[in-house]
Amino acid sequence: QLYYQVLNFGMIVSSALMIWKGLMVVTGSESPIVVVLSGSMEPAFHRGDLLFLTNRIEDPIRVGEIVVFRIEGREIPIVHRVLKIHEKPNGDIKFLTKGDNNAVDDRGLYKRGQHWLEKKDVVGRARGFVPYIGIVTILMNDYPKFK
Amino acid sequence: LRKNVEDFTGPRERSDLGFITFDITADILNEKTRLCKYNMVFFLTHLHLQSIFDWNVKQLFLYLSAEYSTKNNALNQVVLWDKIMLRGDNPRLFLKDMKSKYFFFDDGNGLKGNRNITLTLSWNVVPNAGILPLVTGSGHVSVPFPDTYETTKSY
Repeated sequence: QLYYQVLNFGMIVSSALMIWKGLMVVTGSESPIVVVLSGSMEPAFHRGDLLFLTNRIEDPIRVGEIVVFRIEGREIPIVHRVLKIHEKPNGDIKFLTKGDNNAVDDRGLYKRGQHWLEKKDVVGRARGFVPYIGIVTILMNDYPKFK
Repeated sequence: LRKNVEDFTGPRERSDLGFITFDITADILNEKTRLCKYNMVFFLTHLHLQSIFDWNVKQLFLYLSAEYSTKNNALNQVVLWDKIMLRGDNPRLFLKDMKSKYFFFDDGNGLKGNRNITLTLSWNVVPNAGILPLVTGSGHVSVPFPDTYETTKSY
């Protein structure tokens, strides 16, 4: 009986893992789900909301889109909106972002000397979201004992 | 009013800076978007969609963007103005003589003499939960920039 339960549990865990990896392949993103960590996109997104991302190379980056990006050398992903793009004929693109709830664009957040973001900085594009669900992750980060 | 001033900021290079003032009439509930350019011809279009503020819409993020090509870059898009319209806000906009919220800098000197800058109003539908679509209003206006730079210092 115990043997069965262990097997059952193992099945659930491996299915979850398969779904997670499958999502990574389907969406093309290494992080297909992201939790919003700050209030810089309010009132659209609040801390704890969950975002679903895609990161298909063929999808061009255009203004108005909500992108999740990492600044070189930093771990924390940032969720902001694209404000400006300049794209070369060969597809190379540089773009600027800004949080809806911020008064200024993100140049102050980028690395020293960095004025634009590039495709390589992008983790994914927000395509859908669910509110509140990500609170658990934030709680676990803020109160490590909770883990 | 369009000026074109050589100026510089963040990137510390001289780039073209454009100034545009505009009127926006947008009837989001009835999907009529009308972008009027000061002293230019009216451009009226109707979009026949369902009423956009349905039960699952929390807010709309509206933005006016300018799209153009230059010698340096095949495609440039710059957001000039944006607004958050919450559920319950008046879905009819009637804004006149708006100045752009964000500096309209080009990456280089591509605004000088550029005859074809297209202004479009678009919006991001933010649901209570679900997909985040971007919708473009079908009214759009073309703006030409003059061939010379404005030398006065005033805005």
